Amino acid sequence: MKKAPCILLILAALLGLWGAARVHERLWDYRARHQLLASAPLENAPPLMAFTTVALGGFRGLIADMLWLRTIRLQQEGRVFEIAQLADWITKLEPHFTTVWAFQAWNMAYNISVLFPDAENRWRWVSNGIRLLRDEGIRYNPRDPNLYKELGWLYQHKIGYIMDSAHPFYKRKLAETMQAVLHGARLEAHAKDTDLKCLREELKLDPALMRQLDAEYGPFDWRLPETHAIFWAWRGRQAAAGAPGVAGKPDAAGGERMTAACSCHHDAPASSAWSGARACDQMMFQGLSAAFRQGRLDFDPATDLYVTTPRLDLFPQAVKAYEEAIARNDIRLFREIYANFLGEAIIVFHSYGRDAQAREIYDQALLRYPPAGRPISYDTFIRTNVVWMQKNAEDLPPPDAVAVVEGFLFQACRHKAAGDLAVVAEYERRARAFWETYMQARASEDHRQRTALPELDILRRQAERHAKEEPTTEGHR
Amino acid sequence: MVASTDSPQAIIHAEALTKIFRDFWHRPKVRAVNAIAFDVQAGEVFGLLGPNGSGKTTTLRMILGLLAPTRGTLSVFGRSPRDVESKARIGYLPEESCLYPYLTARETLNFYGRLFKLTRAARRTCIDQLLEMTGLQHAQHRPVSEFSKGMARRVGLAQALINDPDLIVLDEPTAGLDPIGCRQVKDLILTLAKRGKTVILSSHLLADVEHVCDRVAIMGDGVILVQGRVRDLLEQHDRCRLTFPALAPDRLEAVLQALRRETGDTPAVDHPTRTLEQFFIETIDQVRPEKAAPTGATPAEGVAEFLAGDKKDRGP
Amino acid sequence: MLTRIIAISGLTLRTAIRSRVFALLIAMVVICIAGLPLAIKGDGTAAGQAQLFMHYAFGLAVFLLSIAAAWAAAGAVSLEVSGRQMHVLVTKPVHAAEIWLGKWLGLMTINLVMLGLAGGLMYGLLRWTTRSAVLSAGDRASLREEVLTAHSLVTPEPPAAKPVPPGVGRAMFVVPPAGTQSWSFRVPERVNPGDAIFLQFQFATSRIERQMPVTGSWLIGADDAQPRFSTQRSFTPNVSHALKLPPARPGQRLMVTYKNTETATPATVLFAADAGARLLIRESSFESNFIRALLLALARLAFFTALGLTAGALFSFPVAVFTAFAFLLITGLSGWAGTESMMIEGDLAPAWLAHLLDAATRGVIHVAHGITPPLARFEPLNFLPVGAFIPWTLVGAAWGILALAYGGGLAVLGIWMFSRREMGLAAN
Repeated sequence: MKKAPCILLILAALLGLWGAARVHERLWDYRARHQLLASAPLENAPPLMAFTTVALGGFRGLIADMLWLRTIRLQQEGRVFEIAQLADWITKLEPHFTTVWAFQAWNMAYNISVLFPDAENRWRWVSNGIRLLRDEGIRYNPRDPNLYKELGWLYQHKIGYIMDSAHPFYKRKLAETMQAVLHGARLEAHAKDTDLKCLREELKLDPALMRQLDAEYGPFDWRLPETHAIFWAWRGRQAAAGAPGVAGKPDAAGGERMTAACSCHHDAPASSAWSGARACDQMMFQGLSAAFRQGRLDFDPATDLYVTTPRLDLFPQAVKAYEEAIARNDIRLFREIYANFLGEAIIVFHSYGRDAQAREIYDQALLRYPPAGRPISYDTFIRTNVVWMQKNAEDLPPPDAVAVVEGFLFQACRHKAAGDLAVVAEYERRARAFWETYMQARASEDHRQRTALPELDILRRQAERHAKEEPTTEGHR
Repeated sequence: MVASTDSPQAIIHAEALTKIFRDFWHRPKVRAVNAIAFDVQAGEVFGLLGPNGSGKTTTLRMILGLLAPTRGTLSVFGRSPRDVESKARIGYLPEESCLYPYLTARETLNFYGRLFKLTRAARRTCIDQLLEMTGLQHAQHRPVSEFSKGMARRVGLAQALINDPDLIVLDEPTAGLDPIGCRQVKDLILTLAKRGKTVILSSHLLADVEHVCDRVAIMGDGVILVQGRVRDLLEQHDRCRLTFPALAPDRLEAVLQALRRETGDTPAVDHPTRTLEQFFIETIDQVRPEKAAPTGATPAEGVAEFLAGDKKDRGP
Repeated sequence: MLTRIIAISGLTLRTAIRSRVFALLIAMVVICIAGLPLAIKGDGTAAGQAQLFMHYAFGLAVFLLSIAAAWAAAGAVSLEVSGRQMHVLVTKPVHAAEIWLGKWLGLMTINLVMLGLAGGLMYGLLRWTTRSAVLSAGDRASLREEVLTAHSLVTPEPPAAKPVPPGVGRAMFVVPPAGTQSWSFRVPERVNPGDAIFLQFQFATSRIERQMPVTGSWLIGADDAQPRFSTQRSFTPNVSHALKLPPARPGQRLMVTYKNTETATPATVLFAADAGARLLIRESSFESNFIRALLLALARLAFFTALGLTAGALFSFPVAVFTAFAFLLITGLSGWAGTESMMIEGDLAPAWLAHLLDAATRGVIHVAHGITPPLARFEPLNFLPVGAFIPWTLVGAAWGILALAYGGGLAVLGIWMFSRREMGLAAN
């Protein structure tokens, strides 16, 4: 070969090498940040899967990409029968990539489920999403708190919230599933071996851990989605305790980016173990707040009864969760959420006639979070809030609205026992007025489906029962 | 270089024939055949002799159209060596038997027979005769991949003759054959020549060539060093040889005296010998009727009927 | 000519059978298809499981056979050249075309047998896994109506109201809140009176949230009587929906009306003029559709075989295999990249460079896509698992384009190059 082209070729090769070296470093960092380096061993993986991930080397990313693009196209075309299989492969090709697990599960539970008009089909896809994380993602990455958080999120938000018109169906399905195993609200001391086995192997709920959680923060009603969110967040917290970079301080990659437990932004890079742990903390106290507000479930599949009402007894446990989270992550967001929770709790205690307790919480809150100006009195606080709630009745979240109505009816029961009939009538009137205002605002079928309150009679029966169960330690107003 | 004499009878005509092998970058690498010229006349047995790498096989491959000449002209039956029609008149035995390993001997011959569009009956007759001629009847249903080199060679020879070709191209025809096989091949060549067939063969076993070839060309380094009739090339015209029955020493001395007087030189005296090949065949012939080789090729006699001149039962 | 072609194809077939390539291939296909139901993860429904099985079993079988076809074809000529059998063959009065066609026919016979076997096995397994004994009545019905069928779409008759011309994208029918839109369909004469007819529709909305449901009502009337069917429900936008209609007479006219009844969060609903609402009718049996799908696959194998043969006629075996597979890879990737790829945003290169590279790559992909065969157009998997009818015209087009045009082009190239190839150069 001639000399000149030879030299040119060598120069071109050197230029290419130089370019590759420049990009390589950044690529390496990028991969390290997203846990794409093959150095971490895959835990609990069957041999074939471990072999495949190693054998495919760098190609597995490419294959995963192609499968992912296929998922997107099929989804757009509404051809979803293949998506669970594709998600299975994609996650197995990138078993350490938290975002992949989270996205695929979230995609099935959120995007694909709503492609179906009927609740039954939707629930199948929500379950597919849960199973992907619960049965596989966590199994292969037991130390990644983010995956626990993502799983908890599906329980807390997809099933627990009211965004999906089929949410009442999801809640009943979950309750049915749990009731079939637990035969009640919680795990009894002498549960049958078959039930324990089902809990452990099918639902991936370790009975010992369930009992431990009940002892530390409960006892909970395990038929409720919030309980599952709390359970998985709590497990994520435990996992994080063993993970690197979680000593209460953010590591280099985590920083203060993660500010909410919201799973909506899956295109953002996976958060670190540290921010995952913090999200678990947040989910713990959010779950406990929810359990406080709506942790009592009256469920009867035969009559399609599914009513949740407040669990005032869980208040100390919720406070404990908040205090622990703030002790670990003293950030403004947590403090603000805590302050809001305390405010809400005061109103709930008040509406159930427990003003002494409410006043106590109010005083503590003032001490802890002193207002900038002159503090308002307890009575002013209550009055302002009650007025605000009456005015905004139609915009209240359903659990809060249930708490208000049941609170009124609860008080009515108490006063009825005391023979104070005029007061009884007043509480009855308030309950009905609130209920009607709230329900009148729900004109469309979809809106009603998602946010309707139980019938007033049902709530009254609940209130009567709860009034009988509750100790009467306080005076009535 | 011996100039070729253009003749209308020439079956193969080569002039200034050159083959240069090139490398991947198309650069000339080897000049395998360098401006050779020769003619092969109809009915002639023509031998290409030379050491390994002298260009014999390359020349044969150009004649068969397996290689394209770089320069010069080459015609076979007056046409391009790549002409498909004229191939119906050619039979080729390659240097190494290149058979389909999964076919049996009979299937192999049947396959080639079909390519010449022989009818089923004609194929059966030809194949039977060829198998008998090559001594492979008993092994005809075994896959050729199990054959010894000699047996495979016999199948190769049989396929080369299945169309009763007018021009037979034999690349090292006796390589890998036992002496009897060699002798048969040589007999076959002579028979074919007698029937007016044209044979061109290459060999480095000079004894083979000497017996069967009418003319030879000796190649070295890609060029023809010498070519001509075998007898013309080998005969020493300035010397004579007498052969007579053995004499008593004193009478022999008298004859030698007379010869010394006439020639002024001292004549050499020895006993003529048979060739080893002749001796071998005579020895084997004595035991042959009793024993046939159980697995290998059976030594067979004669030439297939259709090759010996009987043309009946032939297809189109 | 025919005698020689048949002789050569017979030889090819015999070699394939005796070299156990055939047996190995059969074993592979059987193991893959039979083992597949154990390995796949459906969506939890019987119909989904059947669709997934069909999709993967069919895809895997055709993939394996395609690889095998290209591989065997690449070896069919090139291995005989390097083994020197071809030296002898070309000294016989055989045209290069006869060799090429003979090999192609022989290999296609193998393909036909293999595909038939794989098809039979798949069909048997499909029928066995979806036998009535193991399914509920609902599962059976949805299988019969959605998967194990061959339905086609009937477009509405030309509308009285003109669709809004496309500003961007397709022409649309616009249905404002409380507005209506009607379509008129003529039930084709070929429809079997007992068969269920579906209304398939899909719409978009003026909302930013792509999947927030919209309440609407559908009213279906016939030309002879009162409304036969009506429903009011909320439907998710941008998803294909199917409403089961009562059976209709062949030739009957159906008036389909949509009313936008969303009041909670009013939204304008948009139907694409060409694909907004269509009737889904049963066109043929699943079995005949399955056979047409196999014929589509066979047309593809015919092309792959031609590709391998021509590569083998030009090059040595490893080079031929590489060439054939590189061509297939380019074909597959260019089709895929042309339809599915998207620009990757990243911080690894400056924006102008990324855009330049993107434009250049798109150009190359476009050219590659233009000259490579349109395999995706004749992909049986786009039809069979979703119960879509494969018209005979598509099968004809597949054979015309893949086998005849591309295969023929490759044949001409292969034959021409082969007849010029210096066989004596190989393995000297």
